[in-house]
Order: sequence, then C-alpha cells, then structure tokens
Amino acid sequence: MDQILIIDDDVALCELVTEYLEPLGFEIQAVNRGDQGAETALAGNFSIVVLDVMLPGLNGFEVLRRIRAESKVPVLMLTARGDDVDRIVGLEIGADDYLPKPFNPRELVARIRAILRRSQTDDAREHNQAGTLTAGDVELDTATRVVRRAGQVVEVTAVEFDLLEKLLRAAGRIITREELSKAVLGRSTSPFDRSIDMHISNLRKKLGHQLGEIERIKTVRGVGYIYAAT
Amino acid sequence: MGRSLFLKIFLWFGAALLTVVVGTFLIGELLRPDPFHEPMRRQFDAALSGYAQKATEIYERDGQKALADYFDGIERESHTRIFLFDNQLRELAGRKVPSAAPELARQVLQRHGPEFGPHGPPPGLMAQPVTSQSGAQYVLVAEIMIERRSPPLWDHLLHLLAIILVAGLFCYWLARYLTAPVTKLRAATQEIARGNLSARVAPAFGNRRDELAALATDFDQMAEQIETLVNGQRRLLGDISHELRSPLARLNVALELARQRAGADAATALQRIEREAEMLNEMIGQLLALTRLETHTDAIEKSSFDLVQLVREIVDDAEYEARNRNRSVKFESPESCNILGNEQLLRRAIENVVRNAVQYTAEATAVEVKLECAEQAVITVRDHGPGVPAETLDKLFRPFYRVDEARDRNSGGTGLGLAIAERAVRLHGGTVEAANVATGGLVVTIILPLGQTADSKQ
Repeated sequence: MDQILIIDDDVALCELVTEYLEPLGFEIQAVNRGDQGAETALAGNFSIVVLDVMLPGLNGFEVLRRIRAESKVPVLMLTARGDDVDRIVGLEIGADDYLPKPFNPRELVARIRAILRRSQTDDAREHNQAGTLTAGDVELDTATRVVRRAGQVVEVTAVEFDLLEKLLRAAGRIITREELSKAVLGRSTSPFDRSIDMHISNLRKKLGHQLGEIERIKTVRGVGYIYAAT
Repeated sequence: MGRSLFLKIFLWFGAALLTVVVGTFLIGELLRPDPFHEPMRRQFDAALSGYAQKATEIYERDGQKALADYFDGIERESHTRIFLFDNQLRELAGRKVPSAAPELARQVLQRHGPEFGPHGPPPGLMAQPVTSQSGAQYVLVAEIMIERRSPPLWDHLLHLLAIILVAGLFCYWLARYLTAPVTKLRAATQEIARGNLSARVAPAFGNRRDELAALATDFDQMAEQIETLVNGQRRLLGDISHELRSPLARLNVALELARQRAGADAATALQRIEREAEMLNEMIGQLLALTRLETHTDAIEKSSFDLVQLVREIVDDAEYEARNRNRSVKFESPESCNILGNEQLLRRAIENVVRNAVQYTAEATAVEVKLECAEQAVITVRDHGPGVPAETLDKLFRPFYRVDEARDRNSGGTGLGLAIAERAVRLHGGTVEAANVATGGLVVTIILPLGQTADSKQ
C-alpha cells in the first residue's frame, strides 16, 4: 500500500483529505508543521509527499529543499492560485508537480496516481534498463538516472530527467506538449497549465540554451518541442 | 535656461555682481575728475604763475630777444618749453609754437582761466592768462612732459576679467550648494517611484542644517510611512488570499465526500454547490489581482519579451476551451513583436479579453484576434456575439459591471475580467476600448506602447 505524507498546517483540510484518500487504498500520514514534515519525510518510507507552500515556521520551499537534499521522494506542491512565482521556484527546487489551492480532490488523486505511476516505472527501468542515451554533448544514464553535459554532472529533478529522456529519444523530431504531459506528468494538458513549459525552461537553463550554433530545445509554436538533432 | 535652476542661480547672481562692479566702475569714471587735474594743476599753476609774471616783465622791459633767452634758459633747466602770446594771439618770443598752442591760448583768453591742452601723447599743453604790471593781457603756454592720459582700455579689460573669474567661481559654488541637495532628493524620489521603498536621503546631507536638510528629513519620514503602508498592504493581501482560500479548499474536499455518499437526488444540488464554489474562487483571485493593480502594490517590473509569442499561447489555450463549445479562435500577426512590459500582467489582461470573446461569440463562429506591430502594438479581439448597447460601451471596464445581469451571471463571468484588463493595460501606458461591429459582435482594441528604444525594435 502506498504511503502518502501530507504536510499542511490546515488541520481540518488534512482530515478531509485523509477521509477522501483512504478509501482509495492509500495510507495517509498528516503533519502540520514544516520542520516536523521534513523530518518525517526523510525518516519514513513514503511513496509521495504532498506539501503545502504556505507553512508556519519553516516555509514550504525550505521543507522541499531539506527533503531534496537527501531524498528523491516525489513531491507534489500545493500552491496559492495565480501565483506563478511559487510554481517556478518550487519546480526549480525539485518538486515534481504542483496543484493550486483550492483544488478539486479528484484532480489531486489523478496527479498523485500519475506521479506514483511514473516513479514505479522509473524504479522498474532502473533495474531493467542499463543504458546510456547520448545526443550531442548530453549523456543520459537511464540506470543511474544521471545526466552529464560535456562530462560534467548536471543536477535535474525526476520530472526533468523523464522529460529530457523523451526529448532525446525523439531528437530531431517534434514532440507535442500533449505527449510530453501524458508521458511525464501522467495527465493531459489543460489550458493555461504551464508546467511543461516551466520544466522545459528549467532544462534549458541547466543544459544551456544553445547547442553549438542552434537552439538546444526549440519551441514549435502551437505544437510542442523539438530537441536539436546532431 | 528655463530648465536649469543651477543656471538660473549662477547667471542671476553673476549678473548682479557684474552689474554692481561695472556700474560702480562707470559711475566712478564718469563722475570723478581727472586725477591729474587738481594736485598737478595746482603745482603747475604755481610754477607757471611765477614764469608768467617774470616773462611779461622781461618782454615789456627788454623785448623779444630777452624773452627768448629767458625761455631758452628755462627750457635748459627744467625741460619745459614756454611760449608767450599777446592778446592778439601772436607769439612773442619768435619761436615755433606747437600746433595746438594758439587755439589753447584763445580758449584761455575767452574763458579767462587756465586750461589744459588736448589729451594725447606727451607733451601736453598748459596755459594761463597773465596780466602784466602794465595791464596788458598775455597768455603763457607751457609744454608739459607728462602724459595726460586715461588708463588704457587694456588695463580695464584685465580688471574686468579678474572680477568675472572670481565672481564666476563664487556663483558656481553658490549654485552648486543650492542645487546639489535638490538633485539628491530627486534621485531618492525616483528610486521610490521605481518601487525601491527603502531609499532614504538624509544621510547624504551630512551635517547640513538648513531648509533643504530639513526637507530631506521630512522626505525620509514620508518614505518610511509609505514603505510601512505598502508592506502592510502587501502582507494583508497575501493573508487575505490565504485566509479566503482555506475554507474553499476544505469545501471542495467535503463536497466530493458528500457526492460519494449522497444519492442521485442530491447530484444536481451538489453540482450547483461546486459551481458556486468555483465562482467564489475565481472572484477572490480576480479581486486580489484588481486590488493589487489599483494600489500599485506590486512594483511593476518590466522585461523585454515577444508579444506575438504571448498572444499565441493565449490563443492556443483559448482555442482549446473554445473547441469544447464548438467555437474557434483565429490569430493573425507579424513574425514577432518585441515589447517592454510585465509579462504576467499583460498575459492576464489579454487572456481576460480573449476568453470573454470566446464566452460570448455565437456557436460555430470564430473569435478573430489580430496583432499589429508598428509604432505601438495594437491587439484587436473581435467576436460574433450579441455586442453591447452603445451607451454602455465605456462602462464595460468597470469592476462588476454587467450588461445584462441574468445572462452574464449564468455564463459564469465575475464582472472583473475586463476591469483587470483595463487596469493592467493602463499601467503600461496603453489604452483599451470596446466598440460594436457593424456586422455584429464586439471588438475590443488594446493599444500598448512598445517601450523600446529605436535600436532594440525589430
């Protein structure tokens, strides 16, 4: 049974969400303070952490940083609606996805499931596939899930890794945002949802915008993205 | 000159100084008698009187030759040439006279008093009337080897130059002293206008204690107040956002739980509750955005980005929504259009207008979005909906304004979208207007200045 850790200071909300999720086959633990949350996350064996950004004491981003420093456990952020900054910062620090509050609980479940599915396939791949994907100056080791650029290791989040893998496998061809969203986030794109764009933007920053003379990851307007073929 | 306080102070003070100096100088020159006149005159008068009497005596007693000898003697001793004229202006010593002498003698006879000869290089002339012991009128004219000159123009100019230089220096310092603090105040004011509320200016005034320093202290106090107020408001808005949304978050989950447990009868009612909760959420978001815009709580950060890219993203997303309702969105634009602005704000503004259009355009029609990029960016969004009564066109952008209560509430609008769009566009120095299209529908035109310098325009 998958264990979910919820870190949110809204006690009533935690109770309601627990009530909602338990019948679906999850084991829920709720913590109401940031510092406790980080400790619990690192000490326990959770399949996913749902983290509220606005926390008293240690704020949500700090908690995320602490967790990421030692663990790759998937993290779903609950952000304030309409605040892009939260999303960008969160994804940069290493959250896997975000969901603005107030949210539709069905949406919450969908995203949790998508993230769990992905991390399971990742685990599976880790054991089964030993392989390196190379394109230009970038090297992707699917077994160790390490990315290297010109020999140097580049820190990427789990989502960014999956995204890059998809792009590299399709290097030189267009991948639609829909494909990317389904494969990497486990859901279809919805209008005004900028997660994929933000992850791509992060990748660009981390790997460098240019690959030699040309753009590394080119935006194809209205369609999707294309990783430069070498 | 009207644009510089520094220049004004400098020139006015300089002019005042110069006027005083030049005035004093001129008046002195005009009114003051020749410095040579008085003391010199008396001296010569005295000397000449002596010669004069003696000369007439010798002439009357001994004649022309004796006179000539007498004069020669004087010339040898004191280097002064003397001439004697009778009252018919005849030279009596038989010598050659300087050209100006007869005229001078005539003046003396006329005016019955001593006279000086014309100005000019030495020798100058001096003349005196003499009455001999026998009562005859004579004029004694002496050639003086002294320069009777006025100080040359060159000297005056040098003086003037020195005065101008010194005055200039003082004027400069004065002007600087008065305007430098003003410049500092301006810099601090601009910092605050830019959004840096922690800018202060008093420390830069050091030990100064005058009115300008007092102004600086007042300024800092005002800045402090503003900073506290604005920060307080920002915090408040943040808190409101959080506080208002927490109940909504709980409501949503509770609603889903209720749905799971309730029977089919409750379904419609629960659907309704969900819709209203969504509406509440939307309104909170919009209200916060509007308040932020109204109070300029966010320092408006601007960056350079491609407007075409932004509008295309909005159009793509709106198209997605439109297709679900059997409508579509068309987009026409140039390759790119670089603009300097706040991407988030403009995204919101344009999004609101486009989604509005999609909401009201008739089934199976397309919303036409056009972007033109020349001196300014002009975005037109045209729908094929029912349009809006002419007299309410300008009211569209007021918060919560609704053309037709029933219709608009049902279609889910909050009445704030266009108000936000208008504020955001206005913050960029642009305008937004709505007009009815003759063939049906509404067209909203957004005009935005590009905010770029000439070179960075594409």
